[in-house]
Amino acid sequence: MLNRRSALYFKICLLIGILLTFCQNAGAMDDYSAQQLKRLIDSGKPIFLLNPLSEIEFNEAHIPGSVNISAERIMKSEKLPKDKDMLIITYCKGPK
Amino acid sequence: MLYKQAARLVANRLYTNVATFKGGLPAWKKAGYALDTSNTLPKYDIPHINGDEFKNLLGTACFVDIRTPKLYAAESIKRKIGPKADTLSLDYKKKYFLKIPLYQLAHQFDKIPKDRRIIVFDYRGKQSLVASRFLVHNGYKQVCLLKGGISAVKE
Repeated sequence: MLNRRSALYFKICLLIGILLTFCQNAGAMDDYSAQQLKRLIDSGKPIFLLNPLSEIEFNEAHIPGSVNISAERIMKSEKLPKDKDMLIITYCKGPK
Repeated sequence: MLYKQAARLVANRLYTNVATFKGGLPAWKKAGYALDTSNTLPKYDIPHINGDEFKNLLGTACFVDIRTPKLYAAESIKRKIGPKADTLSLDYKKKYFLKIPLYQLAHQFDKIPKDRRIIVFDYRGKQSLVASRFLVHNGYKQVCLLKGGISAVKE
């Protein structure tokens, strides 16, 4: 009886573990290094490089070819590509 | 971490292939790659004021709060500057206490009067320098910024 209950607990824990792992991975996104991004840009593959800073900050310095849509405007902006499968890479002033 | 927030927002718009470049501008620069700085503002010297000076200028200067609306909601300016704010007239608040988020400043700066001292502030003092330089570049002569942002003003 005890063994059957233990086995059931184990299965439930395993299931929760699998679900949590799936959820975490579903939210994960690829992250590029500077070198990887440069190679990608130089390769000529179509990408949309998005800078979500303000227009004033964007004008101060940005990666050539990137497009400025401030974060507050992303949900309504029409500047985003029509192709929903295009690779979009976001960047700003770094992680700090 | 605006890059992360932006990536989530883009994904919310049902884009299927969203990635980030966490290192951002510092990493790009460190790797030796060129940045487009063709529209950079000149490096003006912007005077700083501290929290006490900030409080003392209430009523005489024009305050420009460049925080995003989310940050206004998170922390009320009234709470930070204490009871003195309550003595200000409604008219003063309307006229000389402007909320213009940095992302709207380039299009709304003409609301800011040119005949008053301008105090620019944000949350931690990270964005007020570029906003102040922008205003000086656009003809504002008496611009200064709050060092450390509103979070540095003691209650």
